[in-house]
Amino acid sequence: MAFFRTDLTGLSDERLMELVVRGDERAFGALYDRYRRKLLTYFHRMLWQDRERAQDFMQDLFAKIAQRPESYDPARPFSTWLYSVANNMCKNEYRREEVRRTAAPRLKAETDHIQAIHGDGVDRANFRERLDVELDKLDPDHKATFVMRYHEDLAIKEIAVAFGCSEGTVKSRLFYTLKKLAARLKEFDPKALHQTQAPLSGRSDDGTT
Amino acid sequence: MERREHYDPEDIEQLLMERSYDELLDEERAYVLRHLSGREEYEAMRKLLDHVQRSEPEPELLDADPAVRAHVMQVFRDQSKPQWRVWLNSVGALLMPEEASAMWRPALALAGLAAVITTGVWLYRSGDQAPDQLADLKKVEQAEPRKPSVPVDNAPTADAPAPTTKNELAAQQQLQPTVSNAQGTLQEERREAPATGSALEEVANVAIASAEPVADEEVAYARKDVAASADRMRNADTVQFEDAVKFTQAAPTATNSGYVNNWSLANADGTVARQTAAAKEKKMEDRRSKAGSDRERASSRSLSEDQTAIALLNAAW
Repeated sequence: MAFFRTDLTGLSDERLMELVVRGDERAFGALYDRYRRKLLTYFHRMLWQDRERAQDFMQDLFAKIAQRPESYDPARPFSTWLYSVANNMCKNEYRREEVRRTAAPRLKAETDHIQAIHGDGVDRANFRERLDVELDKLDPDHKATFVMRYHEDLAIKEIAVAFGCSEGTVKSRLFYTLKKLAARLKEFDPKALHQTQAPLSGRSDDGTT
Repeated sequence: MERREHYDPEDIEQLLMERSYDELLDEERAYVLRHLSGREEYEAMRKLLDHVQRSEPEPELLDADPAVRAHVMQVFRDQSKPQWRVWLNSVGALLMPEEASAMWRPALALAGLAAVITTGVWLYRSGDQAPDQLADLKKVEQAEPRKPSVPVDNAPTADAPAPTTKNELAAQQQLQPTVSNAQGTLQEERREAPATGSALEEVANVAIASAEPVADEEVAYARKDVAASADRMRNADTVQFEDAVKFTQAAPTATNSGYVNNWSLANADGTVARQTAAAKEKKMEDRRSKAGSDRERASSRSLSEDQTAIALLNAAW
């Protein structure tokens, strides 16, 4: 039987999905192995760094694909479709957990912010933690766009397809998200910290920085 | 002017990733300064982007539990396993066993199936070759018209229905001596009046002969009635005698229809028979009492004494 077994690793996502629609279990397993880490990371970032919840969401997502593989549109790239489904799941979760999302992480953010300010330099772990906190404060679409672009390394075109919007909208969201985060996280930039503290220690005569 | 329009606000990402603020061209710097406050903001965004791209998720987050994969795969198996495929798998396992020694099973099954099909085809074709056998005419013997064992107006005594109840049987047994008594009375009267005896005897024979086809019970009634009629003729006028004869002749006809009714389906449960037996028993009681009074009258009065009746009888005969 091994003679007839095709190598699925070289097949594209879309081809694997066609096999999944036909009931190929190996193709479904191959797709799961390809995207499990990416999706787990995505859900982890989108769902307040809750690993258990991220794992549950990833399981639900693949269960949906298993139950209704025909819902996939072959005209769209699989990764785009997959992230759009994941993003919709996150949006629904935001609606359900709105109260918790606005209460618990805020307290945590305050603590992290204090620790970062009193730190000596750019602590990568702290930055990551703080970045997640600040992302949670953003609009869900902006947050998802940022995560897809800079964490999942999706192209702007793919993000646009996933959200069903234009590429200009995606670029605009990224620009304003970057601008906002840079303003909130500028304490992690040693140069910025130095420039921020300089006026306090020795202000120049002309008042310029 | 066209060059500036080439840089949209959303395209600043490319500049942030590739060049520092000092490396920007004049036109690019002008474009950046239209959307950002200055070098500080530009560098802060550039640093943030660098941190974000260099920051990796924690190693333990890179993989999910194996249980998640097992669950998802099970969901897929349950969903993509239709019933007909299970059935087909069982058929495939039957027809293509893994062990070569077990091949006799599918071979036997296929041979049996072929035999059944061959037999069916052979039977079908053999049926088509001789279709006229299905329409073969068989001689059917014409059943002879059944002779009515019991004439409608002359029912034999042997075919008469047996008495159904004990009362009816007892009544029949009681009637036998009555009839014999009546016949004995007739014999005595023949001896006493030979002239009129023959006429009476014939009248009685006619009455008895007409009553013969009827059942024993009815025969007894008829004979009794004949005897009574004879007695009445001795005592009464000719009209009464003719009425008696008419009654005697009419009795069998009514009795036959009664028999027909008794043998109908309505009498299957015996209800009609019981009702009929009760009615007959009552009727027999009446007739017995009537016959007793007639015998008394016959013994007290002789027909030979009634000259008018004798004259009428002679004239009639």
